[in-house]
Amino acid sequence: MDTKAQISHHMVIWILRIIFLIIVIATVSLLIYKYIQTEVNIFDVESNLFVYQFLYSKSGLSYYDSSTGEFNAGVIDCSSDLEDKLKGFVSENVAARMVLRSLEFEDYNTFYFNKRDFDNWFVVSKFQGPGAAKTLNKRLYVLCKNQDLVYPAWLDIVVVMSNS
Amino acid sequence: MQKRGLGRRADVDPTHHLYLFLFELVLLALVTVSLLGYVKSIEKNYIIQKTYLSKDLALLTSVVMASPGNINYVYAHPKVDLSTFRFDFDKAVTVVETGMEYVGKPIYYPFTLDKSVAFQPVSLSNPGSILFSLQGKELRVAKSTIEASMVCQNIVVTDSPGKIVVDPGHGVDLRDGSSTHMLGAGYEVNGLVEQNINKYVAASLKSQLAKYDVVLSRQGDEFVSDDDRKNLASAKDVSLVVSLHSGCDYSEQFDSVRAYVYSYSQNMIRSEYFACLALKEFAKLPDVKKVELVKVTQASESVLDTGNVAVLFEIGNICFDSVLLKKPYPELSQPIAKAVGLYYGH
Repeated sequence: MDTKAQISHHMVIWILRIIFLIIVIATVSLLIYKYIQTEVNIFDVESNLFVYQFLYSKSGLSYYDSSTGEFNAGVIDCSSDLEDKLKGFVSENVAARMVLRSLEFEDYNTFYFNKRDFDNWFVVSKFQGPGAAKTLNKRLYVLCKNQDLVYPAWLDIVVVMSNS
Repeated sequence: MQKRGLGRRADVDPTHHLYLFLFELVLLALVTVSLLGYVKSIEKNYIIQKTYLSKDLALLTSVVMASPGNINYVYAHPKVDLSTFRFDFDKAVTVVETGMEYVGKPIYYPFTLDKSVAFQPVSLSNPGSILFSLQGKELRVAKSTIEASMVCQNIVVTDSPGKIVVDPGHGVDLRDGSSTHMLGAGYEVNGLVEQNINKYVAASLKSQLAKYDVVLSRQGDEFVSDDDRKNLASAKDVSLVVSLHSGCDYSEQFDSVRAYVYSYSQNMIRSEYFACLALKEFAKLPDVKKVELVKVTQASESVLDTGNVAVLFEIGNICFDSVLLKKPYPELSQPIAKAVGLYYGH
C-alpha cells in the first residue's frame, strides 16, 4: 500500500502531467487555428478604392462640365450639394464622412455617405473583432471651385467599414 | 509493495502509469480527430475559395464601374476553378458551389454600385472565366468566351494571294524507326503521333484552300530538313507560311492553341494579324479552353524567319488526354482555312 507521501507525490505528478498535456494540445490547436485562413482582409484595398472612386470618377465629387464635356479630376464644385452628388453610389458596407477645410484647417463643409451607417459604425471603430468596425483616415489636396473662384483646400475623408 | 532500501528502486506501480498512458492516448486521439475534422470541414465547404472570389469580384466590379472609357476584362484564376461555382451579380457578388455532394452556405460581398452605369443583375453558372465589359455607360458581366476577349487589330491586305506554304512539323519514316532529325516524329503520347496529326491536318488544310496555290513541305512521313523547309518558305512568290505542330503542356489539363510569330520578322504585324484571326476561329471550338499569341525573339532555324508572313501553330495538348486532337482533321484545319479567307478579304 502506498504511503501518504507517495500518494501525494503521485497526485502532484499526475496534475503536472495533465497540465503539460493540456498545454501541448492547446499549442497545437492554436497553431492550426492560426494558420487556417478563412477570412480575406481587403479593408485597405477597398477603403482606398472607395476614396479614389468617390473623388475621381465621373459620378463622384470631381467637377464635370457638361457643356464642354470636360472632366476636372481633383476639382470639387463646392457650390453644389456634395452629399446629393454622392447619392449616385450605393454601397452596403461602406460609409464615410468628408470634410472640406481650408489650408488653415477652417471647416467649409461636412457631408456624409451613408450617414446612418457612419454614425453607427464610427462609434464601434475603437474596438476590434467581429461587430466592430475599421476606419481609414485620408487627407487629400483638392481644388475647390465656387462659381468662377478656384482655391485650394483639404478634403479629409474618414471611411468606415463594419467588420461583420 | 516493495520496501525501500539501499540500492533498491522506490515503489513503482505500473498499473497507474498504464492508465495514465491510455488516458493520454485517448485524449490525443480525440483532439487529433476533432482537429482533422475541422480542417476537413473547411476544405469541404470551399469557404476560403468562395470568400476570396466574392471579394475579388466585388472589388473588380467596383473598379470597372468607376473606370473611364471602355473596358473588356476577362477574369480567370490560375488556381481556383471558376466552373465549380455559380456567381450571382446583383448589389453583391454571391458565390455558391454547384455540382457537389455537399453545398455550403453561399457567401456574398457587396460592391459599390454607381447608379449612372446601367447594370443588369446576372447569374453565371459554372463559367470558365468571366467577362466584364464596360461600353459607355453600360456594364455587362457574362461568361467569357475566349473569342470575345480576342481583338485583332484590323489590317487591310491588298496583295493578291501568292503561294501558301503549309509545313507539317516533324517527319520520320516510322517503318524503320530511323531519324536524322533530333525531334523525329514529334510527340508520341497515348497512341497519338504528332507527325501524323500534322500531316493529315495539313492535307485537310490544302483541300480546304483549293482556290489558293498551296504547297506542302512534306506529303508523307519522309524526313525534310529544317534548311529545306526554310528554303521553301523563303521563296519570293510565297505570301503566307503556316507551320503545324501539336502542343504539349503538362501543367495544363485542357486543350489550347498557341500561335507563334517572329518578333523581328519584316512582316511581323501581318503575321500577328493572321495569327489573331486564326486564334479567334480556334477559340470558337468548344474543346479549346485557351488561345495564346506568342512572339518569339529567336527563330533562326525555323520557317518563321523567312521574311514572309509566317505563323507556327501548336494545336491541342497532346500530353493531356486531348479531346481536340481526336477530332476529324478537317475540323482542326478549318479555323486556319477560315483565317486565310479573312486575311485576304475573301
